[in-house]
Formats: sequence, structure tokens, C-alpha cells
Amino acid sequence: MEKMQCGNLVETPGELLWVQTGVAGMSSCVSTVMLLSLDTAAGQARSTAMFSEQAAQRAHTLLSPPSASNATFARVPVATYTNSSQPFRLGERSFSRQYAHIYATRLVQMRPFLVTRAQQHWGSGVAVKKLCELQPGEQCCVVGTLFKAMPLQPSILREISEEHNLVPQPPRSKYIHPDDELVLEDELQRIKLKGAIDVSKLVTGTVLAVFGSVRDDGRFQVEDHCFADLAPQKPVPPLDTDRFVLLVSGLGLGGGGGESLLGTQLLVDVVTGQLGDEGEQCSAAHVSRVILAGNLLSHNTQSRDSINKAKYLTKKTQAASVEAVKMLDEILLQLSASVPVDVMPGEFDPTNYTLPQQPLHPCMFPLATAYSTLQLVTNPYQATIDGVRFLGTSGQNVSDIFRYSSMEDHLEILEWTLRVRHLSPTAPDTLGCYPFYKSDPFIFAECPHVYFCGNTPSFGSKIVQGPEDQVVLLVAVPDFSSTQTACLVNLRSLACQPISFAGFGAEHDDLGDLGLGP
Amino acid sequence: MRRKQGPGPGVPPKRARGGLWDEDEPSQFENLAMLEETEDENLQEAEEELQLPPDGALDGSAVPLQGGPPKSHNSVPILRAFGVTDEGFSVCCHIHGFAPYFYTPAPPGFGAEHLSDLQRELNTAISRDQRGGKELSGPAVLAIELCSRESMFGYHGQGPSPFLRITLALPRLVAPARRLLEQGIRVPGLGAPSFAPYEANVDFEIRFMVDADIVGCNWLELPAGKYVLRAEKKATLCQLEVDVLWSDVISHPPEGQWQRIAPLRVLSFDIECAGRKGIFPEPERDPVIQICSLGLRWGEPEPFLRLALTLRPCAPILGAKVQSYEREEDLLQAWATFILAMDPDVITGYNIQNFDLPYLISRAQTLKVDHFAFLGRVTGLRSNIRDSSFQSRQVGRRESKVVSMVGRVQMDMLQVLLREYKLRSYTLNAVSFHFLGEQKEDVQHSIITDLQNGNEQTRRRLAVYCLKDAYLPLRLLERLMVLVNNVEMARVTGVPLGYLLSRGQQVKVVSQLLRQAMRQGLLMPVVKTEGDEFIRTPTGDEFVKSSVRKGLLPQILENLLSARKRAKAELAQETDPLRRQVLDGRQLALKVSANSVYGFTGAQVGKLPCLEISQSVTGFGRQMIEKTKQLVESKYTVDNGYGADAKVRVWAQPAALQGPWTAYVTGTCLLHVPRQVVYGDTDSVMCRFGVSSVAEAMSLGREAAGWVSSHFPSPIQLEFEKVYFPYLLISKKRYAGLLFSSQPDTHDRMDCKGLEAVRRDNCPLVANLVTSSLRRILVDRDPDGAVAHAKDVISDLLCNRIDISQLVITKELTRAAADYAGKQAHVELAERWGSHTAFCSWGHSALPKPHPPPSPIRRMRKRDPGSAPSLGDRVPYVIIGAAKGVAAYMKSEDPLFVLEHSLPIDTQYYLEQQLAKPLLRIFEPILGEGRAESVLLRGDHTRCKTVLTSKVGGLLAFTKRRNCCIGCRSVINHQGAVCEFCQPRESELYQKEVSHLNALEERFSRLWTQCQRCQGSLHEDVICTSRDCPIFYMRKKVRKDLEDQERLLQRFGPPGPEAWPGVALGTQTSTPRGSKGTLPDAGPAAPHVLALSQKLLSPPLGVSPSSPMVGNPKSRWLLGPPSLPRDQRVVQSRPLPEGIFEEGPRGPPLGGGGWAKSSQRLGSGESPRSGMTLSSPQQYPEGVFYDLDNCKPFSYPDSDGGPDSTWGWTEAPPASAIAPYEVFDPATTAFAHSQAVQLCYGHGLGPSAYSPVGTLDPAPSLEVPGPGLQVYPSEDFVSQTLGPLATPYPSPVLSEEEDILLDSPALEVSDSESDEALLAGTEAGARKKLRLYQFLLGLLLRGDMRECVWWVEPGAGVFQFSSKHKELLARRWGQQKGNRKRMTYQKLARALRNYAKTGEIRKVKRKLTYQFDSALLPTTRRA
Repeated sequence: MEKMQCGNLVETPGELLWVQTGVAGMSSCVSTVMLLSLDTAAGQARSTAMFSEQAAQRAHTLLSPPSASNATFARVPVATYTNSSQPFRLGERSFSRQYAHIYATRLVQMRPFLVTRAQQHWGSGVAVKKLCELQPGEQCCVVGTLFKAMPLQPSILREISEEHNLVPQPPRSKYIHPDDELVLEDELQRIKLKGAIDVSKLVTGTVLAVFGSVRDDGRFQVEDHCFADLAPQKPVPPLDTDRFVLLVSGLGLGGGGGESLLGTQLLVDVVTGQLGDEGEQCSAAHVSRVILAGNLLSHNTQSRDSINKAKYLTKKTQAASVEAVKMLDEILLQLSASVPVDVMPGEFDPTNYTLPQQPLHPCMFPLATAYSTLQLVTNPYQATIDGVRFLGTSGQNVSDIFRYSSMEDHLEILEWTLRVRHLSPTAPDTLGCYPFYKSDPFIFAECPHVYFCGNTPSFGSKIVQGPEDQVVLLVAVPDFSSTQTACLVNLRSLACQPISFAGFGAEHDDLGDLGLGP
Repeated sequence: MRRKQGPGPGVPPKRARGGLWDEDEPSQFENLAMLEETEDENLQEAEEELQLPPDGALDGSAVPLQGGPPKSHNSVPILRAFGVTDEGFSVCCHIHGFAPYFYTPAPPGFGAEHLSDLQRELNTAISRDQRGGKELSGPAVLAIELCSRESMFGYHGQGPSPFLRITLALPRLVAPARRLLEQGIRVPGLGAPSFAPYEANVDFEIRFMVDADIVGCNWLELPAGKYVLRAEKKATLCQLEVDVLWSDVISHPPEGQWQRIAPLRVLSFDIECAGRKGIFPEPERDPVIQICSLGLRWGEPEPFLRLALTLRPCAPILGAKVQSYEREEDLLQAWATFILAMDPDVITGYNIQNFDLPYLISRAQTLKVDHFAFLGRVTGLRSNIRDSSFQSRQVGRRESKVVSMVGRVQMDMLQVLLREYKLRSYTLNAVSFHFLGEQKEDVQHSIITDLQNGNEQTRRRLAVYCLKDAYLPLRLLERLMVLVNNVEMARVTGVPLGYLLSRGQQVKVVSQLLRQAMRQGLLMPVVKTEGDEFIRTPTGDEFVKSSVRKGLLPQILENLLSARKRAKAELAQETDPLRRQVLDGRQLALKVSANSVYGFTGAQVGKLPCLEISQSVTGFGRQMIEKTKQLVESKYTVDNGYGADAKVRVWAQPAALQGPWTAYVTGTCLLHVPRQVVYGDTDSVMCRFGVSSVAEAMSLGREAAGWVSSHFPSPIQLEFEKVYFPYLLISKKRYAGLLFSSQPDTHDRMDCKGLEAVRRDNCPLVANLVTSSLRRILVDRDPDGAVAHAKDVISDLLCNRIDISQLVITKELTRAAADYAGKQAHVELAERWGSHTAFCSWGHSALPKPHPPPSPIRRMRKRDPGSAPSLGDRVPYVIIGAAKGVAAYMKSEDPLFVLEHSLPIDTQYYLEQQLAKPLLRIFEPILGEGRAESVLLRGDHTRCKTVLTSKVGGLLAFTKRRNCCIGCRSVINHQGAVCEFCQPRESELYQKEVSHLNALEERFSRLWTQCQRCQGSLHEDVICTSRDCPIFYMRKKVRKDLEDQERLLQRFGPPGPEAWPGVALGTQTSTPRGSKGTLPDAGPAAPHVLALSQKLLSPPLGVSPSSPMVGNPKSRWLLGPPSLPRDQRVVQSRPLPEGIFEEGPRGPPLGGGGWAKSSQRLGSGESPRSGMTLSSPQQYPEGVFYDLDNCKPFSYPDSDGGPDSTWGWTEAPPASAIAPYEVFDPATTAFAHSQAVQLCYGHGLGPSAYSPVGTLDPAPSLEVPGPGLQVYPSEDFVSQTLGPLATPYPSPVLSEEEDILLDSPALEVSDSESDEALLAGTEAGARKKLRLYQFLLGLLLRGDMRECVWWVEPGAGVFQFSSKHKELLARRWGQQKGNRKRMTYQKLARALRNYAKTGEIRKVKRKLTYQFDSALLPTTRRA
């Protein structure tokens, strides 16, 4: 694969303008000018070194004559790495079970946490009862699973019966409705909730403790409620050097537009040290690991023809993702040749649908799998990198809650899932999920230090503190294909900064103004 | 015997003590039901005996009543009217003083002087007649009067004549009196004339209601002072009980303020019984465990009472009252007490009439709960069960039970729905989904027992389910406005409410007829008499003109129609939704009543049949339509200034009209002749005005209607009804169109008549496809899209992708099996029922609670009394594939059984018998006659098929499954996914399969979570078995599909390591990819790819990769050699039968077990050469086995390289597999020969079937045709190539394979790309059999039977039969086929000539000489 040739660099403060000759091998649309801006998070000045600060150290080598000594930057080593995603890795999958087990086991696993929290909240004397033991008027605490009855919720039953009447259900971004009702359910019974509880915010599948009493109308009057809150956390071993983990999501290959490809290639080149002067290269060497958080392929590569279209029409067709996967293979090849890469599948990637998504199959990457640095991982992905525990998803859990709750901000939802101590409460109700029966792997057994979700509309990060002084960095990793933004997490300081690879993107669609347009 | 006396005179009415009834204000109560002596003589007598004297004050003093019977000390009938007051109190009104009577014409010369004689004579005659039975304490005949009346039947012209009115003491005396009069009674001075009875067959209650002008469900007023309130010694359980004289009751016509419906108390209930497994509950043995009841006050939105009575403790249900009992007797008694306390007016539920109520009563009898069965309102009157059967032409015979319950109306929603709605399924679930859009959990009755035996929580779950079952009928009652409509119907027709549900249409017409007749002094005769005529009708009957006298029926009809017009006018103005409901119900009732008048006259067995009337009506209708046609066609012509000549279609006549397609482009106007004139088939006229817009057609249509109407006598009117545009006219009475009724710019709906879209006797697939095709053609105007859609659906059908619920055909079991003339699929299934009960959950599906089967079904009952369908049930079934020649009715099977055992659906049946005709009917007008068939039924889309291999069935036990390459379908001998030639495409193939998996998983999770939501519990398993739920079969199928797909993907190997090493996969360690070594699919990458990646391994630019990976690719090399030992593989996959046996580790040793015979033959003195030729299938005249899949071309040359030792994951070293083979045949020769095989096989052969999951290979012991085939008729389930035969004793070596088979997936889906097959027109069943030409070619090639058949020109494939020995050959062929009958050359030759169609064998113009097609010949021959 040809590499880009760089030259004619014009440096502007804060931005680096690159003029290059071509991006061969990436796409047929060759753009001649591109803008690389290493946008650092200006508002997040911290004492620890930011990625760009390191780059600035030797910013002037590019225009200088080639030095005799070809500088080589050793990539920062990762001292310890443990992949802890084992709970999400399924061997033989069987679909003969029903979903009741996962709710049951979830409730059983969560109950002790909630009882503890309830006693913290409402005093150790609070009576924790089961629904079948309730007596009208008696004040007590009940632990149970929420079910939210939603009139707008899409129902396959309705779709099937309407199939023949051809009435399409209007697509909605949110399915909440003022008529939504909350029902609390334990192993045996269910009861409708009313009172001091935010119906629109909560979602089905959440296990929580409510405090209140049964009224004569058969409803439970909620006075207060509480969640399991953050799980216990192990301390981070102190690191002596800055090292970064790059989080990227939503490469969106096969999406048709060349714009994101350019950004993708720039990203790859920055990470592999193909771009910039020695300063940039040096800082690139500080990226100890890249995590691709899902949606490597674009939504466009999703064709559900195999179910919806007649077989005789699809017999000879190949999956829409084939070309995109080839491209992905090449990108992964470039990356993994230089840096350890963890590839998580996402909603649109060629793997199974239900959570936890299993790793992409290595047979799809004949080139890149040659490197052991390429690691194909599950969708909720959990690993300990130099003592820092990472946990993240490709974003399905958060976007599903977004649809069924009034919470608007993805970062807020992310924090909320941490608080309810469950990665994805809406699975299996509205989000596809494997029918687990012995344990629910989505319950946080241990609190991560970095908790991220991919494919959010915009970047966001936040430090959250738990009741037992847990500190968690939340990262909303934006969709790269639309934002051209990735995130760098500093393992030493747990600081996070976005890094943007905007070429002439959507925000400045002015090739013509520069006289360089096609 | 206590006898009731008439009320005494002059007794002041009692004041109500509680002040409930204010004397100044007239009290009203609704005459809900007049339930005295309903239909049953016994019942009536029982009631008479129970009559109590109303009050001491009234006793003994008779009242002289005007027009009433004279005072007597005899027993008299008392009518009870049950109802509620406006305030909601239940009332029983004892109406006194009305006696039954009938008329008879006075014989000539009969005068007033004969009256007393006749009365005496009749009295004596009756008491003599009654002697055997009960003694009468008083005179039977109360009075005989002379009056002037006229028969209503026919026109006599001479006006009224003298009639005798005979009043009797009791209703039950009417019949004997009538009989005696007919026989002749001696009257002094007149001899013994016979008296023809008039109105003697009128029900007593109807008589009273007609005379008192009371209609069902109207308001009655009892004026103050005219009634007596009973305070004690009440005869009933009503809150209020009064005695009143019949003449004092004021009836208010249901208009204005009297229009409202009384606040009736409605009870809905459901019971649960704990049946034994597989057996439908029987009241003698199985306990009632729960009874849930809901009470509703009519007009209130929510039930005021929810009560769950349970056996054994039950956890509380919020919002409902739960009462638990330890003894079942107490439970039953509690419910009976509850009924009496709640005192409902209407009792509803689902199938209560045939199940719940009889069950409760029988159960109570069994348990000796003596006080249970008093469910009626009359104290001390036991409710009993009677069997009744109801037969009509429309519904066939239905057997049912009737539980008497005096004073309460039973409104079984199931009966209502059966009567009024045509549905595919009548289960409560299906009905709720259909009408309420609401599903309920359907708990199979075997689970009910488990739930009951669980703890109080499981019983609570059951109770919740039971409450819902009680609630849904109540919802249906409201939603379908059953009560409102019935109340209105009762009011319109004047019969009690209870009659509407329990009796037919006739009583309604009789009631109306009597009312009308009474006003005119006409009498209804008991038997029909002749009459005189005036107007000649088209059918040759004559009617009197209305100027002479107006007919009775026209008057009734006019009344009905004008009432309907009024109701509709009021409806248009009414805004109050409740009153709108009432009015709408009324206009509907009026319409139905008007229609039933016509039906009444035409009824074959009726109270007053007069076919002349109905025939004349029809005749007039035709005439008028004819006239309309003439009028319209004469006026709307081009000559008269209209755009085009109008065309009129009359349905009554055979259509001889323009091509149907014209209607597609022009507007068509349908004129509607009002129903009262024209009935049945002849009620519409269609005109095509030749205009191009709907608006024009509408205005012309309206104009024409008015103009034509002016040519008809009043009240006949031609009404403009609707415009169809576009209009697809298929044939007489079959059409579809977009219907415009009022707005010219928006269509109301798509209207289909006579098309499969609206019929119930097909599977839903047909209706849905026809509807959606029509929608595309008519609404979207997209015929191409419709064709494409139809093709898609057909393809889906053939690929087993249609949801099985779409394929379920339901037919009603209307007669017992013995009564059916021919064998019918659903009857057959019902009879066979029980052979696999373990898999069936029939009982609750056919009907929520099937009736206990009537006697003809007893046989079935023996096998599986619980689940067999009974008469009137709709039996659902699907047609499954079976051996050729099996009659269609034998192929019916329970859908669930099919799904669970992956029986193959007979797609050909569905395509040809179900879809073909309806589709062609629609599409032929569009595509043209011949084309439609070729496009729809023969196109490309029919060539891609999925054939299921059954999990059950004989031969399967003797086959083993082998994997195919997912890419090219060639058989592979390892567990991997693809063959090495498809290896480069592995990624692509994987993506395709994984995207399918992805789609299936999404479907799976959505379907199962939907069920979870529907059942209303997250923590409990879904136990619903509602077959009518659209997703019931779907969720089962998706689970199977998903497991299969998952298994398929497993063959690609696990995605990445099964487990991540706990620590230290750090970059520094640079471990070779540990997982790789275990990956079976990690075949070597193509060398050039590796080279490329190696090139890239050099660190680019400045950054050195922290982990150089050079070592890793190397480790990959170890996994597999760059080139595989192809000769090795070839040998393994050659179609040599020996090879097949030997391949793989499971191959039996040579000569072992059943296949010893074949090896024997191999070695039986034949030359090695001929031994080699044995590998061609033709050389197995017995057609033992030939593996078509293995005949794929393997065109690569042999390469060197022995078996690779690293090919480790093949379970056994190939070398060992080869060893025995080499004994007979060097691999090379086998290879060479198999190419020849392939060539002579490649064309014209039946389609080969491939399976992505596996191919079936014959097991080694396969041998000996014939008996095996007969033993296992299900062989056709297997479309794969397989050797037919099975020895009865599989060799021991087979056991391992059997184990494998058991582990194999339950559902085998295989794709067969059967391009050639369908062109050649072969059937699925024929594919695996050796075909005649193959047989012949084999013989010729081998040189066997040279004395019978020989080559003439081997190169050209010409051969000749011996005229002498041809029969020998034929017989051999017959044996080969396993025929029992002797094969003759004549038949064989006929078969040969059939090959001419496909060109495989041609007749050469020489005696006994034929020629093979050159393509069939092996290359050597051709050369």
C-alpha cells in the first residue's frame, strides 16, 4: 500500500495544514488538499501532559533538512494488559431458553446491593419486603425490576398484523409518552407505581428499590427510590509516564462518502506515525493502544435482504458489507502493524445482533489477523490496561435507553447506567440480548476506571465519583464518520481529550472558495 | 298441589313498605325477559306447581276482568316478567289473568247456541284425553266465543267470516285441544265437524306480548294502585316482586325517553378446571379449581366487582377480591350463593353455554352440592341441562347444551360470534385480537393443573389469567355492542331478549306478523290453505293488488323500512354517543328483520312457508333489473349525447361481456336495487357509462337511478350505491375494485367480491397474497409491482420462509366423519388425532373450551378424549409432503407437530392447489392468459427451493449427514465451513451467513420479548400456547432457524479465542496467536496475500512496531499446507460407493454387516476393470446409491503430496480410510472413471439437493430395495440423495452414526438449486430414484443383458431391444422399480416415448430402436 507523501506544510496556530498528493488505496475520490486539525480540548487544561503538548516539543523538524539520524520512536510499552471480557464471550450459544431467566437472575444478583443501599438511604431498620408480603398502608421498601408500559413502543405484533394493511409506523427518535406507566415486578407479582418517581426517565429492566406504601387503589405510592449505585473499584496503580489509549468509534466504512475516509486515513497515519514531524511522531508513539468501539462499517452495509427479500433474488448476491470489510482489513493492517488494536463490533458490523456481540470473525481479515496486535473483542469490552480498567460498549445500550427514556444526553445516560449498576437494563426488552440464565454479565461486578460508549452524536467526557470514592472517567466516543473525532485517554491522569481529523468536512464545505474544488 | 288464584276484586293495592314504590308516580320496569314457559312443557308444568299464592289478601276472591277469562277455581297461568327499575332494582312482575286461546273457523250453520255445547264437549274430550297424565282440577276450556275474523293466508275476497275463539285454562292444553278439534268434535245438531285451528302454534308468551302490545326490552308502567307488592313469601329472588293484572300493564313504545336501556346487571365469569394430562376435563372426575366473576352495571365503564373464588389459598390480587376454599364443595356453593346475591340480569362469558355452566352443574351433582343448581331467579327451581341441536343450512349442525336459568339471559359471546361473524378462528384469543386488538395469554390446560398444584403464587397467576378470561367477554360485549343490538332487535321484532339467542329467525317474523294481523282482524292459520290470485308474477304466482287489499308482508316491510329511515334520520342528528349506539343498533336490527321476512317465506321448514312469495320476489327483481338494463342502455348512448354507450351487467345472467380489463380504465357505477325488492343473487346492477372520472360516473349514476326509479312502482327505488374505479372484473360474481360511495376523490375501501381475499376456506396466505396483489394493482396502479410481489411470495413459499400460520387451513367439522361422503383432510386429521398427543395441545386451540365431544366423535375420544376436535370446531391443519401418490387428505397434519418435527410442507400443493388459481384469476387479465402461468408459476423464482428433511421418518435412521461447503455445496469431509477452493471467498460467505444470523437474532429477541410483555410478567416463562396469535408459530420457527444458523456459523470456527488468557497478552510478549492453532478454519491464506503482509511487516517510517509479527505468519503455515493433498481429498469425495463408506473415521470395515453383499458382488469374479466401472451409478441396477453431490466436477490434476499430517482436525487420518479401498481399486483409476460418471450424469438428471448443513449419505448397510421402501413411506421427506434401502438389522458399526444423527440438528434446511429439475418436470419424489434411461444406459454401458438390448450405433447412442427378450428386460426394470405388478415392455416403451419430450431418448424409425441424447452419453462413447 502506498503511503501518503507529505509536503508543503503551512503551519497556522493550532492547526496544521497539509497538502498532499493523494490518498491512494483509500478511496477513489482523491482530494488534494486536506486540513488536519489536532483539536485539543482547550477547556481541559490539566497538570498532566496533553497529547498535543508532547507534539509541540519538537515542532520544527519537518521543514528542516533531513537529518542523518533517522529518529525512531519506540511505541510506549504496555506493561500489563488483561482482557477481562470473558463474561461476554459465549461459546456454544443456545436459544432454547426464554428471557425470564435473565430478569430473574438479574434481580437475584442485584438484590443484595439494593438492600444495602436501601439501608444506607432509609436507615438500617427499613423493612425490605417482597411484593406478595405487602399490606396496604404499611411503609416499607421493595426491591424489584421495573417494567414500563409504553403505548408508543414498537410492537412486532402490530407490525405483523399491519403487514397486510401496509400502515407504516412512523419512525420516532423517542418512544416516551405521557401515558407511560411504571410497574414494579419481583419474582412473583407486579404492582403499578405512582408518586415520587420520574416515569419518563426510567426504563424497563432497571432493578431498583422503592420506598413507600400500597394504597387502596392497588398502586404503590412511591416516596423515594434508590439505585444500586457504583460498584466497588480497585485502585489504579500509579504510572510514571503519560501514555494514551485512543478510543475511536463509528468509522463507518462503506458509507459512500469519501470525507470520512480521509479522516480515517489521517487518524491511522497519525497513530502509526506517518504524519507530522518528529514531534507528532513522538507523541504518536505514546498511544499505547487503540480501541475501535464498534460500527466500523456504515449503516449502509446493513442489508436485511436475507430475511426480507425473496431468496431467489438474494441467492447470487453477496453481503453488502464485503467491500467495506476489505477496506477495514486494510485499515486494520496498517494500524495493527504498528500498535495494538482492539476491535469491538457494533450495531452495523458483521457479527451477531444480540448483546453481547461476539468478536468479528478473523476470517474476514486475512491481512490484519497476521498480527497478534490485532485483537478482535466482544462488544461490551472490558480490559485492564496498565492497571486501568476499561469498560465500554459500542453504544447500543445507551442509544436504546435514549429512545425509551427522557434523558437526552448520552453522557448522562452513561452515568445513569453506572448508577443503576447495570450496563444495559433495556436488554432484553427492547435491545436484543442473548438469553442468559445463570448470570447477567451486564451487571457491574467491579467499577471500571474508564467507562465509555461509542457512536454518540458528539464527544463528551466527565469524571464521576461514587459513594465509596470511586472515580470513573466517562467518555462518550463520538461517531467518527460524522464528527471526525476520536478520544485520547491518558492512562496516568485519566484525562480525556478529543482529537479531530477534520478535512474539508461538513463544517467547511468550501472547496470551491479555495479554488481547489473539482 | 297448590293452585294459584286470580287476584280478588276491590282489594286495595298495598303500599310499598320501604317507600320504594311511590304510588303517585308510575313505576317503570323493563320487561327484560318474559320467561315463563319458554319452550318446554316440563318446565312449564314444574313452574305451575311452584306457583305460590301471592298473598293471603288476594286469595279466594276472583276478579272479573274485562276481556279476561271468567272467574274460575281452576289453575291459571301466571306470567312473570323480569326486569329492572330505573334505579337498578330487580323486579319480578307476576302478570295475572291472561289465558291462552286460539281460533277455529266456525262450521257452517254454527250459531251462538252451539257455543256451550261445544265447550262442554271439548272439556270432556280434553279431560278424557288428560286422564292418563295429570288431573285437571277445573274446566280445561274457559270460554268459547264467536267472532268475525279472516285468514291471513291468501286472499279470499269475501271479507271476514265467523270464527270461534277458544280460551283454555293452561297453555299446555292448547295442543290437545287443537288435536281433538282437528279430529272432530261432536256438536249437537251439526254432527262432528272438524275444526281447523288458527294461531294454535303461537307461543304463549308471544301471544301475551302481542295482545298486550309489549315488545322485548321495553318499559312497562304499572300505574299506582293497580299492583300489589309482595313483601313476603316471595316466589323469586328479585328485590321487588309485584302482582298485577295483565290489562293494567302499560307498555311504552321504545321511543323518546323510553328509548334508553335499563341499568342491567351483567355478570361475566370463567372457570378453570384441573384436568389430567392430555385429557379434557370431565366433570365426573376433574375438580373446578377457580371461578372468576366480573360484575358490570350496564352503562358504567368499569366493572363494579371482581371476584376470584379459588380452591386452596391464593395470593391476593390487587383490585380484585380473592376468596379461597379448601373444599371444592364450598367453592361451588360460594359461587352459587354469590350468583343469587348479585342477581344478574345478563350472564355472559366465553362458551359458558356449552362448557362452564354445564360443567359447574354436573360437577355440583357429582359432589352432591345440593344447593348449587338453583341459579335461576325463581326460588326452588333447579337449573337443569338439556341437549339441543340446531341445524341450519348456513352453519350446519351444531350441538349444544342449554342450561335453564329462569329470569336471566345467557349471552354466551362464543355463540353470538359464531352466529354473527365469520372468522377463521373463534378462540377467545383470536377473537380478542381481532376485535379488541388485545392479546391474552393462552394457558394450555395441562399447565393449569401444574399451576394449581404449585403454591399460592402460581394459583394467583392462574387467577389473573382466569379474571382476564372473564373480562374479555365483557369487553367484547361492549365493543361489539351485542347487548345494545340485541335489545334493539328485541324491541323491533317484539320478542323477549332471550329468544334472540336461543331461537331462530322465525319467531321474530311470527311476532311481527301477529301484531300486524291482529290490527286487521286476520288470523294466522296453522296449516297453509289455498288462496285466490290477482297479479301474475314472473314465477307464475298471483298476488292480490294493493288496491284491493294491502298485503301483510308489504305492510310489515313498509313499517320496518320507514322505521329504519326514521332511525337513520335520528342517528344523523344524535350527538350523544350512547344514544347513537342505540339508534345504530336499531337501524341494523330493522335491516336484518326486513331481510328475515323474505327468508321466512322461503324457509323450507317453517311456521308459515310460502315459497311463492320468495320466488316471486326474486322474479320481480330479475325483471326489474332487466328493465333497468334496457332503460339505461337506451338512454345513455352516444346518440343521446352521452360520451359513450352505457353497458350494464346483470349478475343474474351469464356474463357475456367485454373483456374485464376495460373496467380498469373506465369508471363503473353500481346501482343498487333496494333489498326489500330483490334478494340473493340479483340485487345489483352494474353500469358502465364510459366516462373517465369518478365524479362523472357518480353524477350519471345518481341521475340514472332517479330516472329509472320513476319507471318503477313505488316504493321500489333504484338507489345509486357506489362507483368502482378502477374495477377488476374477473367473472360473474368475482370482482374487485376501489369503492367510491360519496366522495369522488377518495375511495372508501377496496371491495372484493367472490375472490379469495374474502373467503375462509383457503389458507391465510392466499387471502393475504390476493389482497396485497389487488392492492398493488388497484390502489397503487402498479401491476408490475404486484407481479414481483407475487413472485416473491411464491419464492418464499418454496424456500420454507412463509410463516406456518399463513399456511394453516381451517375447516369446520360440521359432520361426523362417517357422514362425510369423501375423505376430507380436516376430518381425517381429527380422526387420526391422538396418535401424537404428546405434541398437541389441541383442546384449547380449536375452541377455548371444546364441547365434550358428541357421540360420533367417541372413537376419537377413546384415543384422546381431551384434545380431539368436536363438531362445530374449526380444525386447523397444514398439508405436508408425503410419498408420491398419497392422497391429499392423508397429508394433513397439525401445524405444531409439523413445526416441532420439521416435517416438510408440501409447497407444491400450496402453490398449485391453493395459490395458482386465485392468482391466475387476477393476473390473467393483466399478463394474458398463457403468460400469467409461465410468469408466475414457472419463472426463475420457482427454481430456488428449500427442502426440509424430516427428523422423523423411516429412512433417516439409516443415513448419516455430511457437511457441504457453504460456498459451492460440494461435500467436504471435515467439520469446517468451506472447501479449500472456496477458501478465498470465506470472508464473503461468512458475511452473508452472519448477516442472516444477525437478522434472525433480532427477530428472535423481538418476538420473545413481545410474548413476555403480552403475558404481563418479566420473571416468568412464557407459557402461552395460543395458536391464533400471529407470532406463535413464528417464534417457534425463528428459534429453530436461529439455532441452525448458529450451528452453521459454528463451522467457521469460533470468532477469536474461546477464552482470553488471563494475563499477559501484552504486546511485549509477542505470543504467537495461541488461538489460531486450534482454529479449524484458519486455512492458509493465499500465498500472495501473505507475501504482501510480510512486505508490510517492515516497520513503516519512524515508528517501529512494538511487536514484530514475523513469527506469527509462520505459525500459520503449520496449520495447513499451501496446497492440499488433492488426490487424497478426491478419493474421499468420489462418488464411489465404497469410497463413501470408507471416508471418515466412521466407515465400517469392509465386508462388515449389511454391505457385505455389495463387496461380494465387487469381488464376484468380475474383472478389476468392471470393478472399476462399478463406481458409476448406472451399474447399480438396483439403484443402491449414487451420490449426486459427489458428482461435482473436480477438474484439477492430481498433485503430489501425501496426506498432510497437520490436517489434524479431520478426525481420522485419510490414509486409513483409503486403505481398504485400495484393495479393490487403485485411486487413480477410480478418479478417472468418476469423471465419466460425472459426464453422463451431469445433464438431464434429476436435481440434486444440497444442504448447507449436511448431505445425507447412505449408511453402509444400505442394501436390498423393496421392503424397506414400503415400510417407510415417508422416504420422500428426504430430498437428498440417499440410497434407498435399509436392512431391518443395521450392522453394529452403524451405531456410531446413529448417535451422530441423534445429535444432528432437528431442522434440516437444504437448498436445492433445481434448475434442470423443474424444466424436466420431474417431481421431488422421483429424483432419487433411478430413472429408466439411466437404467438402460447402465445396462448398455456395462453390457449386461446383452441378449435383451444392445447398441446399434454406440457413438450416436442408438440402441435396440430384442424383440424376443424385451419382456425379460421389462421385468427386470419392474423389479428395479420395486413394482408389485409385473412390468411389461408395452409400458416400458410408453415410458421411453415420454422421454421424447425432454429429448433424453428419441425414437428412431426402426423397430424397437431408440437413441440417447448425445449429452447423456459418456465422453468415451461420444468420441
